[in-house]
Amino acid sequence: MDGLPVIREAQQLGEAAPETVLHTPSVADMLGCQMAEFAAWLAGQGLLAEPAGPEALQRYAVQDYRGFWSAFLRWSGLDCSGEAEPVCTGDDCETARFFPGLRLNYAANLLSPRWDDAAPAVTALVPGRPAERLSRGALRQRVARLATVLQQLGLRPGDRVGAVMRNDAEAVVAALAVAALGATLSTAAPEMGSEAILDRFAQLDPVLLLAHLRPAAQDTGLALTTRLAQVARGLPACRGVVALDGPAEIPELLLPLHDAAALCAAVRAEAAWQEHPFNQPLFILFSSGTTGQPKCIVHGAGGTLIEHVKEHRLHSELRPGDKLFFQTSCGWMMWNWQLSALASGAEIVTYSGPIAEADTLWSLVEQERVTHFGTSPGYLKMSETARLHPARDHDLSALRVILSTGSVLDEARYHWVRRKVGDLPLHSISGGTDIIGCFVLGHPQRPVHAGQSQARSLGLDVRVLSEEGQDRPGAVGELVCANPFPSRPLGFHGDADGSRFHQAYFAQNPGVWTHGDLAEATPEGGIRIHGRSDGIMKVRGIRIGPAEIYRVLRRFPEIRDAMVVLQRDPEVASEGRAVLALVLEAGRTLDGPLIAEIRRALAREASAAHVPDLFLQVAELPVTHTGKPSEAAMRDAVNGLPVRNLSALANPGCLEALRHHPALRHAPLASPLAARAAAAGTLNFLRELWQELLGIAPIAAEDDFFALGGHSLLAARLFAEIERVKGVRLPLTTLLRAPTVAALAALVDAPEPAPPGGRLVVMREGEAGAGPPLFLIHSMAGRVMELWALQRALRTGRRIYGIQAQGLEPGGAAQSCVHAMAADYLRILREAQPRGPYWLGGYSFGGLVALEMAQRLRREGEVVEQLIAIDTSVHPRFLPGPQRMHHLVSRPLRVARDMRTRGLRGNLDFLGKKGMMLLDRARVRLGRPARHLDLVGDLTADAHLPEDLRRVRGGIMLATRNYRPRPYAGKVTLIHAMQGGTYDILPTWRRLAGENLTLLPTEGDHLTMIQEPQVRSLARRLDAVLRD
Amino acid sequence: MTVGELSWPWPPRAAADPPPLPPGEIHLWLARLDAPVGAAAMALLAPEERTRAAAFRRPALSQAYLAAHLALRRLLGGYLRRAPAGIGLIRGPAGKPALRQGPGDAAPGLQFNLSHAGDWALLGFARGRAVGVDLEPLRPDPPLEAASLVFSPAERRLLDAQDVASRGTTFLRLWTRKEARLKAEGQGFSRDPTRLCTLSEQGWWIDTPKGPPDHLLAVAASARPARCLGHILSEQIEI
Repeated sequence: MDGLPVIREAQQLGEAAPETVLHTPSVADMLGCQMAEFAAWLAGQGLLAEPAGPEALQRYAVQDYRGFWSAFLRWSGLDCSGEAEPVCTGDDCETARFFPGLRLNYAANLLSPRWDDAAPAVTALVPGRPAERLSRGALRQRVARLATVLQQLGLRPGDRVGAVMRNDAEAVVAALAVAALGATLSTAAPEMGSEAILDRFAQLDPVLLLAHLRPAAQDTGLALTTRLAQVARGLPACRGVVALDGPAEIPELLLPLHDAAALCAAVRAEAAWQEHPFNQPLFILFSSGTTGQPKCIVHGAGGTLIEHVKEHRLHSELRPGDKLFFQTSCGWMMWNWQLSALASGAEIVTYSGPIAEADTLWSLVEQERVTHFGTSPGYLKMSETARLHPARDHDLSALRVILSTGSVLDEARYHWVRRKVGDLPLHSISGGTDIIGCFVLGHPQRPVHAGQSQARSLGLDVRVLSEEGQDRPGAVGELVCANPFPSRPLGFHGDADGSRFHQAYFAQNPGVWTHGDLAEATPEGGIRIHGRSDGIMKVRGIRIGPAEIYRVLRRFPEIRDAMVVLQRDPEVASEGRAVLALVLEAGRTLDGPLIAEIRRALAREASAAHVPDLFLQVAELPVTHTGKPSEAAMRDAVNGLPVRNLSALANPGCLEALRHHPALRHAPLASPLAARAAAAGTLNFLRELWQELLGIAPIAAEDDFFALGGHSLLAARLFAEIERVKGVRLPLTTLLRAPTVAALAALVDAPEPAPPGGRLVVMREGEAGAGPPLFLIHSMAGRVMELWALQRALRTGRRIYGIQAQGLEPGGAAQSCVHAMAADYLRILREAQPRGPYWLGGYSFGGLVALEMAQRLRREGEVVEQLIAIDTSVHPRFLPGPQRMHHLVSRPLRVARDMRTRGLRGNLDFLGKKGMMLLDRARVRLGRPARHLDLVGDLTADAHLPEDLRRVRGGIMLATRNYRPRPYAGKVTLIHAMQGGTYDILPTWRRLAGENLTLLPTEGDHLTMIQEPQVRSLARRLDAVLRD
Repeated sequence: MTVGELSWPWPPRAAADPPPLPPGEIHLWLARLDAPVGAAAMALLAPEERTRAAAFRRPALSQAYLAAHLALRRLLGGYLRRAPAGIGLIRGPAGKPALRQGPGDAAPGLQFNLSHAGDWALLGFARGRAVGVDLEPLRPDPPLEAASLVFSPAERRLLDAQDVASRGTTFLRLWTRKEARLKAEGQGFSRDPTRLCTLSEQGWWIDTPKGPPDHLLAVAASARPARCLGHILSEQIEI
């Protein structure tokens, strides 16, 4: 067989964008993989013209899908009996059924005697215990015994079983035992709360509950046994609980509790396993819908098996003797996917412990000599952040394929894997619980391009439908499947007429399965998945589904109805803030405590990112004539756009109230809680907060936090709440200094004089008669809080003021020019001290502003006694010759390196942002205000910072770039870090200040100099200067 | 080296007879705090400890404080071969206890740290390396909203990468690592905790061994130990 066309095809696909190709299959891979074997076999059967490359094979499989699945059934050698015709009833994806005449047993196929009994089947890794290794023979025996036991307990084909299991060997045995009997299994992970488990199982009426009952180190919340008792109480049809991990006791359990191990040991004769219809329900999985309870998705045994075998053998090149390790739990579809790998003669590795360190899974991959490692983008990112180098630190010689699923895999992760793990195929696979399989996968004959999945699932007519047409390269659209496929679920449990099933998958685009994912067909022939398409919001870079928020809100009796949409930031197109509109029960108002409670509940039960930025109380939500709430209408109103479907609404008038709601103005506005706090005073606010957190009342203003029982976690909660309400971020150490309500309140408030927006802060009270106060200007941090350690270490009796940046409090915008800042800060300074002599200073950037302020004061005839610059530098443009040359030369190298790691799309994005930033620079030069300050600086490193801080920092960077310092005639003291940075700042200051310069070295580098313990040295120097 | 599989041998061990502590080892001790501290035991404590205990509003807190510090003194007595009552303790700038060094004292090199929560206290001992320990009960509602106040960007990303069910545990696990690390250094939270990343720092060693059910443990040291031993402290007070 001439394999050249296969290689040529693959090469053509790879030629498109060579720099994004991260792995190219070798000739041996391409000709020797099972995909090639299967194609050759098909050619031998006369079904395919030879030689056939990947494109030809997919074309055949889609056009003649009946022929394809029938052929694959034969080639794969699955154990079945009966009539293989008809392959598929009907051509409609929604109603077609596959192989109605076939019978098989899922478990028997996984434990087929065609492989050696001594071959390993399962290796279960549990922290704190030695690995449990089961051979195929041992596994089969245990499954047979447990199946017999379950049958004796009355389990019949078609019965449903719920299982709360850890990911270990017993779970595998249990699942196969249930499957062997033709019953249907539904799994949940032990971390889930009992309500979440009941939300799922209660709809199924399971007759048995299987469970792990022994507690483990990583369990949280209620004990597992207690939760199981609660679950059992909610399942009236359940006849008993089977403990999988040894004898246990559940005192509150009203059902019989069976010890699986004891019962299995007593089994004498093993029951025979029957074959069941191809479409016998095997697994019921759950997917959270956008409304209401989770959907119960029923999957058939044959469809699941044949699809998994195809994905394992053909796409993932899994062979007998290979070892698959997928990072998963029993609550997720990848557990079932991994289980089926036994049907290809492979061994599976399970791990039920936590990821204690970033390196944990790589160590396991090495230790177990895993050939196929399945992980997630999150773990790859964690590994990258932890600066791991798995190729160097571990023996990964056995590893052949890496799979990733769960969320979108960014290009950066592909590059990291190539650099740090090796020249391995990285398969980003995507599908869903709904199809218990994948729509897009890897392909052993195709090169790996960063950011893409290489192939559509063989035999599935996967298409991308966008406004520009179908499968247009570069166009993002809906991912659909147009032909029948065996792993299409049988339906939803409890959906007798199939209407909900139709609504979920077939209503949006008639005749095809709409998956709910946004995707893009790439020029290289692959698919790039962009994420979910249903109402998802992107808030600060994190995808938030409204359903996740509604689920938590359902618990609040005060809330009658709720809707959350994204209000887009007019400046930054891809970002926005989440706006939550609430309709409350009659007589209730949306007040501070309710908002605080909702915030806490969301942060705790969903995540901190799910807490909406804005809470609105409205009289009603927009609904259509059929009563369906319209998020689209609300989104338009909130964003100030004309509402698209006004005529479809039953209550269009409510949108006016929404549109003009005062809280929707873009300037950050005080929330109702903040207003309330301001009115009541900080002291009372803090007192109430302490009482709530500590659970003690009344609390006196002089009570000590720790004596009341406070500990550091409570302190963290306290300070988070203070920051949220007051906008003041205090270090936790503040409590050591100010452990009482009164002292803390004093630190939270901006003390007198109250200047515009609290920009003047009294950092140190000082004593009378100690001399003029010192004014310290903020650094790039915007606030002077970072100098608190310095302030504390000082001994001087002088008062010290801090001046903070504009843009961190309501009513101000970030500034981007040192001259403008100097003028503004002088105004603030003069309100505190109308006449000189003045003492000015600043750390880092603050020193530049202080310098400019000092220049102006002197020009106006005021006396500036001292200008204290704490490790202040200028922009490299303004450094003396040789240093400037170094900066100019090293810049292109840094830029080039960054561009390489970013990938094509990343660079386009980056260049776009840089373009906007350069336009801004020009704008500022012309004296106009900058518009994209948040794009200045390191876009990735600063991504986690809040937007207002990013703007302030951007403004400061721009200001530094444009400020050329002039020589200064007054006294200057430069306190500089002994561990210098890239550039030596001394020559610059010598040039600026001449003989009036005093140099004081201090310990540490630019960052550590203001931290313990080096800050003491700095404090001593500063004290010395202030003494003169 | 990870100590995940630390065993806590039974029966509990007396404080007066700890195993020898060579420089490469760390010893961890768990002490129960629910036995009332009797008068004889109170006499072993220093006056400032008794005063501090009296300041607690709730008797249970008082009790736990006394029991924890009693355990500390007993173990220090065991390792230093001195009577518990006479051991001088001082507090560092962020409150970390340390041995008082008299002018003539040879430096014992013994480093230690204490953490207590609920019914348990965790004590760590080492020679020649700074050690910090933290013990937290597994709370059902950790303050996830405070993540940006205490965790580095990498730690926050790890936290956000978890699914909702495991987020709480991960938060507490990261918290204990950070606390142990900061306590080992002796700076408490006077260092900005968000600038310190316990996931990827060079030099320091942090681990989270298994402990009593429903509790998370973390131990940090300025150098990786060759061995880490765990013991349960017996409740018999040696007078």
